[in-house]
Amino acid sequence: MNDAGNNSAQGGAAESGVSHWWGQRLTAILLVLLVPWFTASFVTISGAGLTLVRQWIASPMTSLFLAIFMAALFRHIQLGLEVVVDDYVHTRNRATMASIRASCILCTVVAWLSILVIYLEGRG
Amino acid sequence: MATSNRPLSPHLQVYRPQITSVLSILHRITGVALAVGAPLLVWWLAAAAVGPEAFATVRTFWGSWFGQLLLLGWTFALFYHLCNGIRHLAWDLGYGFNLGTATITGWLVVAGAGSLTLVTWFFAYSVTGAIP
Repeated sequence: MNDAGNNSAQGGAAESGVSHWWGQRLTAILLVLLVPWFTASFVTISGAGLTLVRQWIASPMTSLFLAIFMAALFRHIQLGLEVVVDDYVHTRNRATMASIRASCILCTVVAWLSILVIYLEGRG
Repeated sequence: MATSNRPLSPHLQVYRPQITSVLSILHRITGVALAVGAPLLVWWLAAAAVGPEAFATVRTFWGSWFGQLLLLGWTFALFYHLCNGIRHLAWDLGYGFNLGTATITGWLVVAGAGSLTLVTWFFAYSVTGAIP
């Protein structure tokens, strides 16, 4: 994806706009499927205590779905916040865009590491 | 600071609020609110990975009246954004653009998000005791 400060058609919205639009829809479809699954599971399991929570996360299907959920969620958040900044903030926003992107990547990585740790300890 | 010539959103305050426009801006507001809340989900996951003490801290926070209030708000925001997101996906496919249809689906989204929130919290308190 090219930086938002480039005003020429090449490297601007003509290239990144289409993938941005598709990315938001594809992650949306994933989230339509995963959010009900996660919400129902979370409500059922989260009151049950750490041992059961970890058991739930450590099962192969849950850890896989959770990993996909976290990646789709934070990609969707990144793309959505970028649109909001684009629409409402009147100056160029390279630093804002970079920090949105960095925060979303950081959240995904921390979530993945947590899932991985719980998965591996559940195996061991 | 250079101001670009990019098109910006119109000044919405000159329009009379309508169900369609209010729900449209609510989609963005709930989206931003959920973006603020999502890292707390990562906090929950990380705490579960770190151990009992960290997890207990998370539960104490969510169990407080302030935490529960936040969760209630986020539950509604999540279901609203989910239902209205499905409405948006239908529009992307070319369905539901008729003004009457858009008004009906808009109210359906509000009703759907409200009832899903109620059902979730009723289930949470009756089956598992509390969230989380």
